[in-house]
Amino acid sequence: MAEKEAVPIHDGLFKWPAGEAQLICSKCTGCGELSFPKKAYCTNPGCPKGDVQDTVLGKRGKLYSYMIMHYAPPPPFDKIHVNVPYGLGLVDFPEGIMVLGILTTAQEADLRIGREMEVILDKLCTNEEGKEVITYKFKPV
Amino acid sequence: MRQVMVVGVGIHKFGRFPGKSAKEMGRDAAIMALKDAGMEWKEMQAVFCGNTRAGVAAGNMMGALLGDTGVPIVTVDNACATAGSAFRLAYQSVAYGIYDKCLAVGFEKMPRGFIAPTPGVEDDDLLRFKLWGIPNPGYWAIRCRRHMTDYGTTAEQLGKISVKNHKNGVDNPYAMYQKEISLEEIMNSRLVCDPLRLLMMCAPDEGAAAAVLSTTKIARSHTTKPVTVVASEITSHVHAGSFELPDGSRRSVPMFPHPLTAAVAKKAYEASGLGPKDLNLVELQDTSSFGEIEYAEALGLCKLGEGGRLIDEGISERKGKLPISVSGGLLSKGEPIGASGLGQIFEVVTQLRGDAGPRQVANAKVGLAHTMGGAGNCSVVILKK
Repeated sequence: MAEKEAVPIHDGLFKWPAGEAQLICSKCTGCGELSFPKKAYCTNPGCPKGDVQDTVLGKRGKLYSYMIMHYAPPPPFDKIHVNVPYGLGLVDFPEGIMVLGILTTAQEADLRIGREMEVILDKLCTNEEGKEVITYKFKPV
Repeated sequence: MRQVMVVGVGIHKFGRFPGKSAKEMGRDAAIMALKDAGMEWKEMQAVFCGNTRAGVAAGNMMGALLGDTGVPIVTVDNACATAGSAFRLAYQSVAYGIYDKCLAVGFEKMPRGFIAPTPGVEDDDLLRFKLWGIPNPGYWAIRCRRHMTDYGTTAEQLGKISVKNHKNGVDNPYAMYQKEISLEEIMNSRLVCDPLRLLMMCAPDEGAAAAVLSTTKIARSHTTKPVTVVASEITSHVHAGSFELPDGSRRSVPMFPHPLTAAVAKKAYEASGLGPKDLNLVELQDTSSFGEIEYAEALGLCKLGEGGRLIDEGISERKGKLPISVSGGLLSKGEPIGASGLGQIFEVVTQLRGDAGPRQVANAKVGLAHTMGGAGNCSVVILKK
């Protein structure tokens, strides 16, 4: 990404080849259910039993809903980022899963339910070791 | 299976009480419930204590204040459905003939502000605080925004629910807030998690409540006003996820109705043989005004999407066809997690006995109490005169 070494906000959530963010889900070979964050096993009680494998979601989904945070969030996020107001959105992916994520905008005018959103990589902050902390965000297309 | 009755109820005012411990509040509520039941602490055959934050074996710590009788004490933690779960354990103990007299008591002291992750605990819940900084109201706000789009629910309806509940709270001496608030003040209050404003949300606070449960025979020999427990059900997460279309593609399941509330309400209606039409009053999880809208729908009090109509048409007012939150709701009482559900049960029992004074719902015969907790815990209790 940049000259500084990048460190993800949390392991196992996304890959970031060449500055793009790809969300990692688990998918059950028995029932097809997806999970984000990924799970080690399927928790669908109706599952006919299968293996859980990693899979990567596509780049785009539709905004199912969103909210704007106006108050400082509780710890530990208050130390990690973000100036309020910031937006959080639930994006519905065509693979059949909804994922929550930070939005690149908190402007009402940019946000409309049903709007096409894409997954991008963004920096959250610089950590105590001087490394860039990166995460995935959703950006209106 | 035996019929179970609530023979006594007690409550410690909800609010903030610096210097008073949660267990002391629990003791006060328990003493009041026992006195109401005409029974003594030493008669209790089992005690189920709802508490999430007072430390290990909080129930035992509370019990020690009442006397070391050796009674089996179990501390229950099911997030916001804690008290409903403690009540369920007491209920099932009597119903299935394990004990004849049980006490359910919830007590809690919540810190101010957003409920934060438990320090030093690396549980699943920490992740959402780490990744997104989303507090509980954030999830309600996301659901609320979708509901507004799907069904035309308005910010003004949210405001009017808050007006109603605060007005009801004026007549509840056990509520933290006993003051009317105007619609204008509510609609001008600060946005917290847009679209939810500060005065549309409840405050985590402190308090306690208790209920003594017994067999019908014992109840009738102790009180002229026993109340029957016709349902006490709890549920955990039910799998939703996605479903497969005939062409093999998948779709996420829609958000509404609230799946856990709908699931536990169904169990409660089946267990009691009653339905939404039989209810005379409802206390539910109005942690925000939106909660009253979506849970009313999931409880079957109205059709999906029509939750806002209940306030617009005055149906949920105290003198309306189906009063909701006559106690003032969580909006007025606040939410001491371990006690909340028992606080609702206190209100419903008081109403069914005709003892609610200015809060009294005319001809109250059947009441429902609903709490919805984090990590997927939901409880519904139905009580009948």
